Parts: sequence; structure tokens; C-alpha cells
Amino acid sequence: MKWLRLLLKIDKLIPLTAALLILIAAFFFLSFKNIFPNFSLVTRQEKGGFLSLLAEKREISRLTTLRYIRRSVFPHDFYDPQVDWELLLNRRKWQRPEKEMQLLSTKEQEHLKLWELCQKIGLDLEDDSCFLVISSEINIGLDLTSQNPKTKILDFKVRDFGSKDYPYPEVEITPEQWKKIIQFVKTPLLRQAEKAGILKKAKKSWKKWQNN
Amino acid sequence: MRYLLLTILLFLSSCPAPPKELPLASQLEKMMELSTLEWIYDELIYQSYNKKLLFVETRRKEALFSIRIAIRAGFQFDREKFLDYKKDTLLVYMPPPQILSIDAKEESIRQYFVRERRSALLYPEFQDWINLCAERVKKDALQKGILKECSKRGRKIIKSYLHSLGYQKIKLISQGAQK
Repeated sequence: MKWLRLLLKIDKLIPLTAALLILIAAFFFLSFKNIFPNFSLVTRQEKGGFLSLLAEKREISRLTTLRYIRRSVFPHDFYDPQVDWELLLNRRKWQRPEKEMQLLSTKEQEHLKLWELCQKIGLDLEDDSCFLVISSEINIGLDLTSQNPKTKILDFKVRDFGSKDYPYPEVEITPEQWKKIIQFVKTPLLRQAEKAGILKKAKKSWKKWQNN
Repeated sequence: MRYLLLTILLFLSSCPAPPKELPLASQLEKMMELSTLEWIYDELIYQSYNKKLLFVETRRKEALFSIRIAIRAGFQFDREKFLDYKKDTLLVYMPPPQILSIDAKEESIRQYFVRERRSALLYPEFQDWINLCAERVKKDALQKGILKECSKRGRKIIKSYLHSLGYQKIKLISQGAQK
């Protein structure tokens, strides 16, 4: 019976002791905050800087008459969805230059390049939810510095998204990896644009405008 | 059954066919844009972020890299109201010069280091830094008078190009104020 009474007493004391401890902790924390007002358990620090240098001034004479803008999904827009990656990797493994039949086609070589790039970056080719959206721009027109200017592709560039205008999932990549992605996508994007007949369209539009 | 098939065929034939030449996520813009100047900037970007829990560092990411940024200035002509002919003079309506594009050259990126601890650099996070740089580049180029130089060169180019096409009397008419 004595034990039971003692236990009941302790049971009543527990909430009281806890409340007292909380009060003491709050008192100490508040007085600590008064002495060190900037104190916080978690601190975040961001630092940054830019150094800018005007390296070159170029005089150009370019007349842009057509702009081709394309939004692509990397890597899924850059391979044939029917490709068997395992088979392709095996073929590369057993490839012998002396046996022509076994040599990989240009398309297969491009697929392998993409596979290697994704491996380096850590993008899973089999996982459709792993992607990057790239917005590219191709400018077509005339370079007026030449004697007889002809319609041609003047430049290729990537439009930079900011985190505010990028509604897709963020992907872990470094600036160097981003550079490699752009180096890879440039050729297929230019090829796609030419396939879509943008040069013909630009020439036609320029002629029409000149005749007017 | 025959009528049903006929109805389906009729319905399908009335549906507009998707454009064949251009892929879905693409767009063509016709324009008349004359670029006369391109200034190249070399940018060195450093960013760091860390998080501490009671003086103990729990997360860190830090990067230093360089990138080239090209800023182009020129004129955006109205394709319809660009040229006019009065008596024996060709009239060219010159719009005010403007910054046509600020382009970060991704292929010029040089990464010095990236340090990550329980945190990683994210795309498009570092694009924000590049965009900030682009803003600074624009401000600097405007301060250094890119538009003034562009205007002078633009007039020269247009005159010499039209002369080469055989026009003798050309009058350039400036429109609006410089932006």
C-alpha cells in the first residue's frame, strides 16, 4: 500500500516538474536571446559575387528575318524511344573495327554518347520523370558584311530559364554538366530545324518581302 | 454500319490536320532585326550557401565558374512600315536602337570548383546567377553607350547596303526616342 501511495504521489508530480523545467528553459533561452539577439539554433548563410570584364567589342551586320524557337525535353527528345539500351551496350562491347557488319551506325553512336552523358550527370534514361526542359532559339537571316549575302543560320542559343519561370522538377547538375548537355543538344537541334525546312521558309519570306 | 463508317470518315476529314513540318513544341517568328554591335563580357561567378545547426555545419554548396555573355544591340524594324518611296528618294524609317539579346554562352563555361555537402547545385538555380549577371551586363553596356554606338553604325550599314542595291538618294528618318 505504501508503494502504491508513493507511486500516486510521483505520478502527480511529473506534470508539475515538467512544467517547471519548461519554464526554467524558457527563462534561460529568453535571457540568452537578450544577451545574444542574433542567436538561433539554425543559421543559413548565402554569399555571392560577380566579376565582370568587357573583353571584346565586335562590329556586326546581321539581318535576322526568321526565328525558330523550340522547347525540348532532355534526354527523352534526343533518342529513339524504341532503342534497346542493353543490346546497344553489348554491341559496343563486342564491336571489332575489322568486322564492318558489327560497326555501329551514326545514330547508334549518338545514342551511346547520350547514354554516357546521362551516366556522368546521373540522369536515368529509363526513368521518364528525370528530365530537363531546354528552350532553344535559332536565328536565320543574312550576314550583310559579305558581298552577296545569302540566307543562312546566323546563331544558335539557349534561352535561360530562371527558377521563377521553370515549373518543372529541379535537377541536380553542375555548370560543367550543363555545358556538356548544351554541347550535345546543339547538333540534333540544328538538324531538326533544318529538317523542318526553316531555311527554305526564311528564303521564301525574304524573297516575298524584297518583291514587295 | 455503313452510315456509321461514313459519318466517322466525314468527321475525320473535317478535322484540321496537325502541321506536318514543325514539331509540336516549336514556333516560328518572322521579323526584321538588324544587329550592329556585339559586346562580349567575361563573367566570374562565385556563390556559396551553408546551413549550421548550433555552430555545426550541416549543409554546404559552393561553386566558382566563369561564363561569356554576349550582348547584342540593333534595330527591330516593322516589316510593313520600314521603307517608303517619295519622288526619287528612298525613305527608311529608323526605329530607336535597342538591346536585342543578352546571351550566356554555355559552351564557354569553365568550372573551377563545385563543393557540395548534403546539398547539391540545382538546375535552374545557377541559371538565376547567370540571369543576375546578364542584368549587370546590360546595365554596364548601357552606361558605356552601346546604344549610341549602335545607332551610328546602324545608319552607316543601312546606307551602304541600300547604295549597293542601286539606290542613290536615301533619307533615314528616326522614329521615337532612344530606350
